[in-house]
Amino acid sequence: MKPSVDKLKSRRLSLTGKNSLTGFLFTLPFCIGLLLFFLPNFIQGVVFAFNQVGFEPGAFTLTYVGWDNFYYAFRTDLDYGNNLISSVSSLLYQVPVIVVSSIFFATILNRKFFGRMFVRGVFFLPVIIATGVVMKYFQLDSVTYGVLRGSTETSAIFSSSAIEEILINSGLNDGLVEVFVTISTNIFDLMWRTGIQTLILLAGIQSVPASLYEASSIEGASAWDNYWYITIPMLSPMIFVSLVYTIVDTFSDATNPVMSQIQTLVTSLDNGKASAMAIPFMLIILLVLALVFAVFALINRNSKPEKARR
Amino acid sequence: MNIHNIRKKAGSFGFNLFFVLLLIGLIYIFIFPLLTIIITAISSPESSADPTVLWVPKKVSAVGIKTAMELMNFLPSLGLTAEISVLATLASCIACSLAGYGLARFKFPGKNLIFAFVVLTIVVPPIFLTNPSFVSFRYFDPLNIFSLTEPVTGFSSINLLDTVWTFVLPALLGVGLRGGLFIFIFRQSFLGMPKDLEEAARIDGCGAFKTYVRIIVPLAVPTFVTVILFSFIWHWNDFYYSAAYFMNDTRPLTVELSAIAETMYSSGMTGSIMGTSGTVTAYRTYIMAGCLLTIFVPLVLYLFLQRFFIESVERTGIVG
Repeated sequence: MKPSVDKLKSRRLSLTGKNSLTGFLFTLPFCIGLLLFFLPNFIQGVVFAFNQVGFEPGAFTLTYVGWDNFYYAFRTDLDYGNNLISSVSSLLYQVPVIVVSSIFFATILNRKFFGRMFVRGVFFLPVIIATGVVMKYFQLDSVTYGVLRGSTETSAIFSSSAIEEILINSGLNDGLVEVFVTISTNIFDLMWRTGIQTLILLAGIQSVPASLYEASSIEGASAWDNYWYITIPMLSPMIFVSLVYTIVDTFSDATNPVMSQIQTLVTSLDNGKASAMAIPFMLIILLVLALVFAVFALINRNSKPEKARR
Repeated sequence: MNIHNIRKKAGSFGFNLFFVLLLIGLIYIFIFPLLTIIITAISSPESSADPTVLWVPKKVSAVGIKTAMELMNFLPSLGLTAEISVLATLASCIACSLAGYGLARFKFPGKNLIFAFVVLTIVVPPIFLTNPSFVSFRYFDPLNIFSLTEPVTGFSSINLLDTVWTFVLPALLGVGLRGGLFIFIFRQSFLGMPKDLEEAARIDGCGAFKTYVRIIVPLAVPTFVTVILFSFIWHWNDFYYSAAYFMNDTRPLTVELSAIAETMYSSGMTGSIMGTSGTVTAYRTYIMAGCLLTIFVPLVLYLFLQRFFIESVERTGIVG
């Protein structure tokens, strides 16, 4: 009853074909969504950048102006270039701080301790409160303002000038001191932006099969070994997600100088200029993401041989 | 007791102390604003800005909550927001997990291009799309189908504004609010899962879709819970799109909350807002009460969904 080799071969080929069709079918809803909703609107946005946009009931009136809007952004507008640079440079310290602390928080929240449920609830509060209108009112309110914006008002110990002096006197590099001071004055703000990442990573930690830990513990691995050789590698896809999310979130946050500039232009219905400012900004985000993707691909390639041997 | 043991104990005590102190500090950072909201919302409007009151309100009253409910047109708004959030969350959870699974486990031509588009949808900020999508929903005409059928049907487009479809329709197709991010989260989480069970199921003759429902979904419960939670909260808290799409009497809670000051203005409370200090604090009470009303549902949902983060751990313990 053995099927001939030829038959097996042809069947397998058709299976690969079938497989790739199934794969495509899984993504089909998204592809339709792209064609119906995302791409038309996105292209419209790009077209805006080359036009003077007017609004009529039910339609846009477009007057072609070529690259004028881009000239305006880079030559006429004094703030735009600086804002671009400052948002990229703030990314350099914000993203590592946020991602590392959320890995740390997720690890803590995965431990068993008294009141864990309560603490988990508290850690997630920023996600519920910090997105949206509630936060806007918070920044206007005098009582909450002091706590959320800069610790300088709430505690003298962390007032930046005192620490700055100590650090400079201890002979640290000026640049390093500046980075440290920026982080310490923004620590409340930064901690407030870890909620999403912490939860993504917590879900990731909990998806690690318990059998892996059992096996390694039987082999005599310590908790520390388990963490570095099982949890972190198994978590790396989710660390990647939180990295990407943090980058995009930092860029598209309403407090980002470029975003608020674009927001102002959209509010005053100057969509052409707004689009012209948004496009280079998106290109920069894409570039940063491409870098992150490349680095992760490299790490994956280097660690593959070990995995295969498993 | 030997010295080694004592040192070990002292070390773990020191670590635990550090751990507890750190937690207390972080809890303070995270919980302070919520406490402020609650305390201001339940204290009587006159006493809420009393400088001698820090944590315990002198006079508890429901006036703030009641007034905020009236100002925000609360029950209809709550219904609308809940409808949007629930439907769009379910829709985007299904569509995005399917797309994420397709991208994580299959090889097919054009896959990388599709993934590149997923990343693009993550990167494009909402503000870039609000105006074009507003017009496309006002005159909704996918691929010109309605224009072409106009002679028969008598209309060339549908107005989807002020309906939940503005959120649910894109979500059904995986391009809803932060849809790209959800596809990405699903893809990454499926990539990290062991393939063994799926392969076994496929060899036993289980179809691809059935494998997805029977094997993948139960395995990825933590990821699903995370996405459901995020999607629900982001839809609930969304302001950009909601403010653009809804202009009728019934608007999502965030839009009502944002307009609460103007509503006070137009409902004749105008004179009192900028008046004496007493009335300014009344204003503050109403706003905080509005904030409390807005975040109440996501808060309860989170407390409820939290359990699934732990339950799923036992399920994931695959043997083998």
